[in-house]
Amino acid sequence: MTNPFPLEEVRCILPVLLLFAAATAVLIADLFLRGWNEPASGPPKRLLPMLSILGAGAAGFFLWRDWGSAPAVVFHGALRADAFAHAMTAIILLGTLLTLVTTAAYLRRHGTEHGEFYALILYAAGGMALFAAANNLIVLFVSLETFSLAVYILAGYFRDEKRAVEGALKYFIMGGLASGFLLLGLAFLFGASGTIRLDDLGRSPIDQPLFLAGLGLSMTGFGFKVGVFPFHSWIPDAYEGAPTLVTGFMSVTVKTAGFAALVRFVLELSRQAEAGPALAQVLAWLSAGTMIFGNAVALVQGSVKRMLAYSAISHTGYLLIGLVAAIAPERGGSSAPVVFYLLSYTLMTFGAFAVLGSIGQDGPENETFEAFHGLSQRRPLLAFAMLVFMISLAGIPPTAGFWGKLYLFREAVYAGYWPLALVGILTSIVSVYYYLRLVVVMYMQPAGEGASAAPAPGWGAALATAAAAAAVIAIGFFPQTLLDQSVASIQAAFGAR
Amino acid sequence: MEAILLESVLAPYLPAFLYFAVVAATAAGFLIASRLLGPRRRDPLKLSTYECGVPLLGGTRDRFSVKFYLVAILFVLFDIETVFLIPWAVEFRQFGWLGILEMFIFLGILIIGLVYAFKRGALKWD
Repeated sequence: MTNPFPLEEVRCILPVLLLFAAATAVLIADLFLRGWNEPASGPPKRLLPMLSILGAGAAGFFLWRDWGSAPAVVFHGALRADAFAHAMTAIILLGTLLTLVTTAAYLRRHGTEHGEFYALILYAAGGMALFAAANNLIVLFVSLETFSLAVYILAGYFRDEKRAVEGALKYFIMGGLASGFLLLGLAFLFGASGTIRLDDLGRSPIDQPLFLAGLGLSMTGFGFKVGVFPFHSWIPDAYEGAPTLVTGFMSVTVKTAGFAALVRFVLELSRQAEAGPALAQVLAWLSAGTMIFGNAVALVQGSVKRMLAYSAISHTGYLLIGLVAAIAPERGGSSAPVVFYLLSYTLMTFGAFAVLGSIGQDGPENETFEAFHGLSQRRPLLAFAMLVFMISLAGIPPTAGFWGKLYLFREAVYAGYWPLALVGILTSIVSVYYYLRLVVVMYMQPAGEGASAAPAPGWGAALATAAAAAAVIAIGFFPQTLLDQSVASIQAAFGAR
Repeated sequence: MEAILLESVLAPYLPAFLYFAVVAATAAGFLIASRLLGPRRRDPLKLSTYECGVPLLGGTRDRFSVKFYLVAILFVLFDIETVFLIPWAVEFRQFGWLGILEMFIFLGILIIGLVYAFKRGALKWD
């Protein structure tokens, strides 16, 4: 009889366990501190963000300790702790830490600091880390729901605001529908192959029509979660309604986690000779549609928050290029640029939302382009950080975003998908307009009469923004180390691809 | 080609489809027959809502406290606990100490949830 609970394998999920433990500890600590935390910034409240940062940091430490270890399939095939899962967990933890460091002052400013906020962020991060390592359809679905539920609540965190409730409800309903699609798709895949293990799904004999139906349904589910073009409709409203920093958290970590599972799912399943080429074809069209739609609609947004939401959709399109290149039928490229791009995307997008959250209180009036008028005079450092994030998002050197796009497009051309690379380049040129529009109003327009004084962001937010901007520039000058790491993580986890 | 494909995929479900058809036909048959054959004598008592034989107390669209919702949610949570506990209790000798440890970890997590609900006042009625 095999050991039902292999204790020695627990070390592979130690980061996940630590995140969940820290979340629970925050919840309990908050309960018992409730009595004497009246002075809102007194020691007990400060304890909660500290505790959560400590938890996420400890998870990062154990992740670092396991870095580079041989791939291990643990818990009877339920999880795969390999270099790719480690890399993705690291990016998710980075997004989580940036959020935790930034939000304390932000929440206090809005008078809504509750212990549950930190707990939900940590629960979401734990679910995402599990999602990135899932090697079993059941674990895949359960971890997806774990982090989705936490993020639904976070999206509606400002529950007195109408648009927050509306966005969160829309997100919840659409997300629930997407989960339904995914679940039915996973059930079909199991029916077609007789296995729930991802690494076996690509190799076992299949019932083709059922397999393709399952593939289509589950790709629809994944498409919702990462915001691919025809399934994107929840993104603008949910992103606009959520507290700005939660939007930052959602757009970086949910996308990273979604792509982590999507890459694993697609790379494993495309080993089936009947499914691979069809999958590449469908993903190529979705990618082109997402890039064109996201960028075209972002052009006409009057709100910076909505502009960033549509920009998040367009970046999903760029990321899909890497996936298409990796499973191209004739000459497969590598999906390593996806890893590289997700890291750069996390830094620049979270940075942009952190700046937006520092401009003023949440609300439509502080999210317009007018709110940014003359920011370079009022807050020169903040304006400079935004400049860095914007040129990186637009893909202008010397920034991380430039190299991310370059590697993705290069991989597409190598794999024979040059039209896709062309669409990517053309839409990037379009995106320069709306990203640089923000830079123009920050540097070349005088501040309006009613411009708010932009409150002090707090040392945590300042630190996180500065670190993200510095990292974006540093990666822009020295991309090679990171690219080597990305290639190594993909190779160690999936072989040549 | 198409026909063969359809046949191979759907053939095993033929009995199920037949069953659906018979069920639908029976249900429709009963409804139609009672409509055609049954006598209809309307009086106020007969037209009122059927509530297990007792006289009606009020409308169905009464408001009731939202607190029932919280109680129902908590009930579902702790109900699931029993669903896990019973199979474990039947087989716990085979699992040994590790099994007991695991179940106590599970119960510990649930107790944390109970403490949270209790301290947040979810069990208070007013």
